[in-house]
Amino acid sequence: MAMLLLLGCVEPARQLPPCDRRTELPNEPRDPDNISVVSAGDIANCATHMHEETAMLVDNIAPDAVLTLGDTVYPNGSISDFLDCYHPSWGRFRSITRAAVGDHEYHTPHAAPFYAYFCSEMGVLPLQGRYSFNLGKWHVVVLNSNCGGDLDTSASVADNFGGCEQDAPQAQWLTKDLAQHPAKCTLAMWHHPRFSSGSHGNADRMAATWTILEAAGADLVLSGHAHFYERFAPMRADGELDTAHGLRQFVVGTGGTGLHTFSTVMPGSAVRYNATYGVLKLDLKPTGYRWKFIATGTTPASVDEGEAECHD
Amino acid sequence: MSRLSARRKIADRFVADAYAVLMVAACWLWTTQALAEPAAPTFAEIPSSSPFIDRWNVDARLSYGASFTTGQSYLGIGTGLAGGLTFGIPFHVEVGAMWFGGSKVSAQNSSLQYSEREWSTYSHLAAGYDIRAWQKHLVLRPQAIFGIFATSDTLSFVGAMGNVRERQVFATVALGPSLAVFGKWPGFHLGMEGQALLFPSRIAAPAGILTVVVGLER
Repeated sequence: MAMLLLLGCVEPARQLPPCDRRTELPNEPRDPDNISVVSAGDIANCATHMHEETAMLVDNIAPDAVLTLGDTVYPNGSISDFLDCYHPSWGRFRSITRAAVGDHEYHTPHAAPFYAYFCSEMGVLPLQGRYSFNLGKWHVVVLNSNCGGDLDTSASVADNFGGCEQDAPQAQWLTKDLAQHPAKCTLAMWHHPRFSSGSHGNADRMAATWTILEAAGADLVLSGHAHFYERFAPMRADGELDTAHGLRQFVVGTGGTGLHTFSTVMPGSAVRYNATYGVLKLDLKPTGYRWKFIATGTTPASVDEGEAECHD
Repeated sequence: MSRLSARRKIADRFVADAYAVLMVAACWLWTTQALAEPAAPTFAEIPSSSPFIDRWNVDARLSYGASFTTGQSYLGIGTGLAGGLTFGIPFHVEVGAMWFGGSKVSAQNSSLQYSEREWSTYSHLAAGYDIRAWQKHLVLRPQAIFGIFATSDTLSFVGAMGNVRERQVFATVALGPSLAVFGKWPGFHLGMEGQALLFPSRIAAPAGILTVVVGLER
């Protein structure tokens, strides 16, 4: 008994899939002028297995890259959640996946299993959740939006990457990274949406980040957290519409875990959909992008599609 | 990262917890004062002759705790001691301390090794009321619990981009009801207690503790 108490409940060591230390994709895109990207957040839940349907959508699209938007696996982002639930489905895209960390990952201290599964090497520093890479002519920045405020996040781990304020290490890193990568088209992704018509509301703590991106001429923001699809018109950090300089945000929390209802429709919300799960397909071109939200169903359907040019 | 900032936030969260506890206690006191009406005591509740200390007890405890919505358990099997006083009313107060073994997880591949160990100590104050039956050989004791967990988290993350080895200890306040049932013999009691704990700073992650209690009393 004494040994049991001293050791606690020791689980046998799990074997992780191998790491690729590059943040760039392992293979060149099939068409550098039309890079196919699939994105979704709030994905694997082995209580419902709906993520297997969205994984089949990804199979059919056969993208060059997969961008996951946090809450990768439910309920707690433990190492067994990743290896036993996420890995058998969306795990087959792991080598082309670049992932943002969500709040459910922080149900486990430091979100460490997330970083272990997706390889800490992707990050600037271990356990920070921010890094960047290029997709053809696009520059992609991945950020950590877990800056406190979630009552299900342990007080011990929130903000241990330095927070989301304007003078925080992440903001300083972002400013420097954008200056070093002056791409015509820039995409940013993180978990908590700056704007959302769902019950979680707007992540005001990401306003400073949005302002930095706006000043650098970034174009797109991808987020999850709210379990539905929502597309916004180009917006400034303060919520004003600005087609010239604003960023277009997609909320794609439709990866497979429990759909949410809409509450107050936010200004700038252009399209909202919560009938089924689905993924966002982006075609990234040298000077613009096309988007298409593809919903699950017996006949996968396009719910919303369009195209736009990047900012000058 | 600013470690100072992280500590300040933990301290802020702790103060927020304590404030929430005080508010709940104040509401409870007000409610009991405002709403309580004197009721005729049943046979089992007839107070002893003295309102002062009727007896004291010391308990050894063996527990199993489970935390919900947490990816790694800081509870598991635990052991500890508690001591209490029972007044003639018969109102019971208790303090206790426990140690929970928690858990350890690890995973690795050829370029990355990750392991994390969590364990915790749990100190609690409890106040309750003894409902006695079968000539006081059986006691049913509902209680209100105020507890503080001190959880130790030791992380080792070894990878190509850098290594992280750190240990944090953080405190969280817990509140909740418990229900204990005891069999009593002269100078000795044996029973079980169940606690349901909520954390004001982490409401989506409640915990439950089931305890076997063996104790002496005079």
